[in-house]
Amino acid sequence: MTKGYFSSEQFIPESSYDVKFDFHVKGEQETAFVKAYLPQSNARQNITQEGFFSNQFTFSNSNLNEGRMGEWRKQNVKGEQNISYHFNYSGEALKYQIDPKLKIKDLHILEESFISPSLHIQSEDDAIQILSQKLNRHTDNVLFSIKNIYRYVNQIPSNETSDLTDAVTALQQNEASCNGKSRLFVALCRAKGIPSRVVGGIILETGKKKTSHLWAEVFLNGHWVPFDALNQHFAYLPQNYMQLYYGDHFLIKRSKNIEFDYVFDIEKKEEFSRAAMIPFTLWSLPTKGEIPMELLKVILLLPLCSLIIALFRNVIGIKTFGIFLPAIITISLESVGLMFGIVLYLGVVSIVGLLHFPLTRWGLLYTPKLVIILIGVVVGLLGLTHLGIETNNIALSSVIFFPIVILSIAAEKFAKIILEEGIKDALKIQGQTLAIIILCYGVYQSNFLTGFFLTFPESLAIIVSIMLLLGRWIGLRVTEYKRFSWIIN
Amino acid sequence: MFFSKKNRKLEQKICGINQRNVELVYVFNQRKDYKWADDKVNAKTILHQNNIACAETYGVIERIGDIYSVWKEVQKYDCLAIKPANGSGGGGIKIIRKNNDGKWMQGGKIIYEENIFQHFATIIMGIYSLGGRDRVLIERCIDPHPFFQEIYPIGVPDFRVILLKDIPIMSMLRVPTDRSDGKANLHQGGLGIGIDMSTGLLTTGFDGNNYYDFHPDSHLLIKGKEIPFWDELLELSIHTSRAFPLQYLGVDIVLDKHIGPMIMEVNVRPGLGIQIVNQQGLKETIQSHPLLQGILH
Repeated sequence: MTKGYFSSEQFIPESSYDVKFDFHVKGEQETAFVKAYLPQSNARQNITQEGFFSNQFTFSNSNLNEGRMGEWRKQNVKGEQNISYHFNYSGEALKYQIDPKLKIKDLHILEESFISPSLHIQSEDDAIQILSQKLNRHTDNVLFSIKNIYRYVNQIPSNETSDLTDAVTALQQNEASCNGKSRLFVALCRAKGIPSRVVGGIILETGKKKTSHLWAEVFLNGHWVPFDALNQHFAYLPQNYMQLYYGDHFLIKRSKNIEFDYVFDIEKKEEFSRAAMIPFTLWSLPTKGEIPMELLKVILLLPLCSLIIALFRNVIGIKTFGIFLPAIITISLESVGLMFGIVLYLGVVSIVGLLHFPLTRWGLLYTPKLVIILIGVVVGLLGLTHLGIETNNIALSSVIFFPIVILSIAAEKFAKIILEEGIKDALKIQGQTLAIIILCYGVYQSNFLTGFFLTFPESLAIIVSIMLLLGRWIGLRVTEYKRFSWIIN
Repeated sequence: MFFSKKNRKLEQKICGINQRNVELVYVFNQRKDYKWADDKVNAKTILHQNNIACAETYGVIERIGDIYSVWKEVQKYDCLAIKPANGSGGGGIKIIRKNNDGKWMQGGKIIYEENIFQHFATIIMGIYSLGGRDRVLIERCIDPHPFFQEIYPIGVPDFRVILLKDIPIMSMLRVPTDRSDGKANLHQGGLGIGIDMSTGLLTTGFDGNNYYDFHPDSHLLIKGKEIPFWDELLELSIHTSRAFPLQYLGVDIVLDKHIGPMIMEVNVRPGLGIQIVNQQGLKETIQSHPLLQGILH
């Protein structure tokens, strides 16, 4: 994972497409060629079952920086000839989260060409420079700048042209298709010093089409993050976006001396998904709209977090507030993020701790005392929210959504432990609980674990077996070795 | 580090929480019987039925509405021990005494009726019993045996005897210290003193940080002191164990100046710190006892 930055795959069932490139060539001449970028497998797309059919064309294949180039060549082309190339594509959606604190000066440029103007991406053109100034003069924040550029390019009216539109033309006409918009997006990014490039590919959907697609990518902390201002994908690449080449190139090139036509013939394979290969998984539940993904994730990972807590309690000997409470507090942290969530949690705990002493000294009964403590917590949270609205700080103002009920339970539990064990032990247990919360947070954030339990919900049986063993385990807890070490000395 | 010789040795001697729960508490105590020990009012019912010496019960308050009538009832006594029936670790216990003017005093200060009533209400609301409702137990105060003056003059020391299948297997004496505020519980700063079961002689004391031959505050000698009424004390613990439907339990016994050994409390899950105090493991003790073979693994 790169600093302050992570990518996550969306858990949409992987879809697969049968794709065929059909090229029709007609000529009377000596030598003809057709070149096209062919897809390659990478971390998010998988190309299999490749094959081609061509009448006596010789096929060669070269790996270039920008992609894999296939070339069909024939001497003495007579009459109509067909070339077809087919393969199976399966891919996953990619979603990135951009560190809101990332500054432009911290960006790694990778290659000078990613911030320099090119033929159709005229980032040093006056019109582009003026617009860039207008959009982003006052900020050096990457996320903010990209959002402004994205918003601007997105609001330009779309057209359907398949003609090449360069960045300046797109700006002047105030109208463009994917290729114009993507070049304008990249030009504006480069004008601001954000390394970026265009990417060529095809949006896969069942049917025959001739249109390819162009979108943009920005290089942030080691990742090429995708943007499609035409179809409104922000830092997101849908699973049916097949990548073919990087940079401003033409998908197909051919010799001038022939008549040429082409079509992409695409068919979505309905039933290929992880779900189809494995008898029972839960992947399909969220897409069927029966249950929100977040909820499903929480339900599935709660047993795992409880397993961790059980191991910490019974094997290591760490004390926590209740058994499930740390796992549940973790869920509530998710809406505000770990760091801020922990600060908030500690704030709540301090309010509880501070109110506890005077209220106990005045001899208040238990329940009224607890109500006052809760009101203290509520006032604290409202204050933060107010501060957030005043200062336009989204993180602060969203505190109100931080599940207050769960915090209240935590507050009550903490107050009780102060009573039972004294403030010193209560703080110690507090610290251990916090450590467990951070660990559980890691579990909830793990795409691997979420994916694993969605695919193999039967793994819950493994947790049950571990618990059956643990339930009969009579060994000393780790902390007990220290506690009883007196006996040997 | 966990495979060191020392740790292997510990594993052979010590019974940890996991083993205590799996092989002792769950095997020898039925969940449904916990209530006889956990609730002091219930425990005293059994003790009274079996004529086992314990502090006389002056009154029990079950509802807020009963406070006044029970309070009137107990005015004839000079000293009251007020306890939550389900308290733990000595929480919520108040000892109040009448002074020469007939006013109730707590720890040298006058305590007003409204404060006492509020304490009753607090107990009933369940503050000392993890939230559930509770009862107030009012009983006779203990007058500690002069023997304890020879160790530490303040507070009420008590003996803890652990019994398995009605056999006393380990015991200790708990004595208050300067920092325990009159309380004898180990985790509140009390001093635990080991006992040689066969002779009834005190061994060394342990306060959580060190072992002592002398009481750390009074500097009076502990080691080798003979416990008065030791045989009666053991006998009483065995009677108690037989009277309760529990086979693994910790019995707390006080030594009263006038009455001798008396049962204070019965515990279903007696703590494991007694092993540290005695520098002896429960596991080795149980495994080496001829009548307790095959219980611990």
